[in-house]
Amino acid sequence: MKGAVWRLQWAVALRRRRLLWWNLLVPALLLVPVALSGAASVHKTVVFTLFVAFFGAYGSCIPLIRDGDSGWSEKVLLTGYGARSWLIERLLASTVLDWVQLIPVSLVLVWLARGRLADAAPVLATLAMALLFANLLGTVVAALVRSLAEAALGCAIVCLVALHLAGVFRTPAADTWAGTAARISPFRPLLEAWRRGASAGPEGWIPPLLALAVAAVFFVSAAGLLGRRMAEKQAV
Amino acid sequence: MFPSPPVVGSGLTFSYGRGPPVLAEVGLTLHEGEVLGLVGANGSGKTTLLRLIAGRLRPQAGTLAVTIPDPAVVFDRLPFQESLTGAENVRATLALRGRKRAADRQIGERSLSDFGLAQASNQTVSAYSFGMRRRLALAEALASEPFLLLLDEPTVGLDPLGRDSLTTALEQVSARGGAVLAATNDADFAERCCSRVLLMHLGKVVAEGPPDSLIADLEAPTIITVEFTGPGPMGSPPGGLATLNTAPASPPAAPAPASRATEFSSSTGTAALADLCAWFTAAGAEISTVHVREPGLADVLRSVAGVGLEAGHQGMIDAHAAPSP
Repeated sequence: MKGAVWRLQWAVALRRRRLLWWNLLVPALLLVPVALSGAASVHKTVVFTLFVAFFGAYGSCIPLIRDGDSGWSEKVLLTGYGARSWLIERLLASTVLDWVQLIPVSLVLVWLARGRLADAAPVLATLAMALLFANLLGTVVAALVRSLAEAALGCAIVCLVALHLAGVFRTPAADTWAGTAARISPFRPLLEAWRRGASAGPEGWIPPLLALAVAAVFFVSAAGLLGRRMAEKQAV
Repeated sequence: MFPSPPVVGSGLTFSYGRGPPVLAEVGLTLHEGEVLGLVGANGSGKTTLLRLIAGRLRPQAGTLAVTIPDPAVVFDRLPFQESLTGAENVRATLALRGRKRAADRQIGERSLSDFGLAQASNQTVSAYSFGMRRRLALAEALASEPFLLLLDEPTVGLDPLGRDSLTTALEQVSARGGAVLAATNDADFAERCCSRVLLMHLGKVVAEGPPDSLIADLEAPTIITVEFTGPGPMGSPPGGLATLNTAPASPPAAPAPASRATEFSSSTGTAALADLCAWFTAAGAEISTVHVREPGLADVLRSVAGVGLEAGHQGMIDAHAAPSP
């Protein structure tokens, strides 16, 4: 891995300051009113998790489609940069950027719920994992669709299914396949961290190692497969 | 150095999906130090052949050996990071190619300067015109000092200065042993810059050779157009010339005096030009313009495409025949 794509992603993101500010402001404008509302905390955390999933998935999918349409992705691959390295660096840069952009609003939400920031660490840690997974979902969608319209629809469907499987919309019984799916979903730890951090829930947090392992395996295997698929897609 | 020749292909066949073949058993060899032009009408398969060589498509039949890895490529699309400056884009491309040394940066800056972008190098690309983007794409490609350069329609959007820069750059690539393959519709560019040309038509290579040789093989006449006022000469023109067409330079309904344009084909080039002018003068005509058009690669292209040479010349006659404002 040469790191050129990673550096380029950051250079472009930092140069596009307007977009950077929007990505800091929009989450706050959408989520803070929800946090201040009188909705039940279980509903608030669903909204928070849903937002993170969409933020990550759209944030990786749409630029990939756009760069594919403009020919930029093909240009990068034509320099001899490996498709896998290109995709992994892009994904990691996009995930870290998303994470950095969501840190402020996450801290605000935790502070609004509990009046202190001591419980923010689990939220921020699981936020990174959820964003990595959401970015991967967005990349999967980008590899399969042919237009921005399809991408928008695809991201919505894939995210909602993934969130449903994570037990975000309902709590499945632990001894069922749905319970197992929810337990290993990389979105689930974020939901639980929100419930602890952004509500008056129970104290304590156990690192979600299983979900972390699932995210890592999914990331490595998907990046390899998707890199090849994306490279072929740019060619035609 | 790399094994020579840099590109050897034979029997290359390709079609998109289930459509008809875009390339049918195409063969080519690109030698070191050569600037090879792929010349053909739209849809003749030039870009597809270029994409096969760039490794972006795989031939469905035939063999293709490209011995130089990761050639520098400028396709018809010109993608850049719009929010970065021209210089930053060049540096990014060099970094993607694994070239990050200070010397590489200097080469990038020199390449921008060679293409007349020194002053604009610190502007964001979003402010660049189409021609500047074309220059930037070429500067980027050449900054990596490639041994194999693939260009698709490199002259589109370039002004004469940009064309000169391109010509110089291609000469430099060729001089250091690099090879260039340029797909183009621009017959003038191909004549000027390419040491050899492959003429493509409907997915096949129909002629191959140095531009001069292809033009000579066509045995096309030189076209001389004389625009004059007053009485025109009668009878046959001087030796070696044949009258092709006479067209009034103003509409028939317009009042006299009408200037007229007469077109001659010459099998002896411009040798009979003086005799021709004397012939007109002797008849009392006043010559206003003499236009000489030597046969070129565009005529070879028309011939290959099955379009008569008259089609190419007719436009010129029409232009001469148009009434003066």
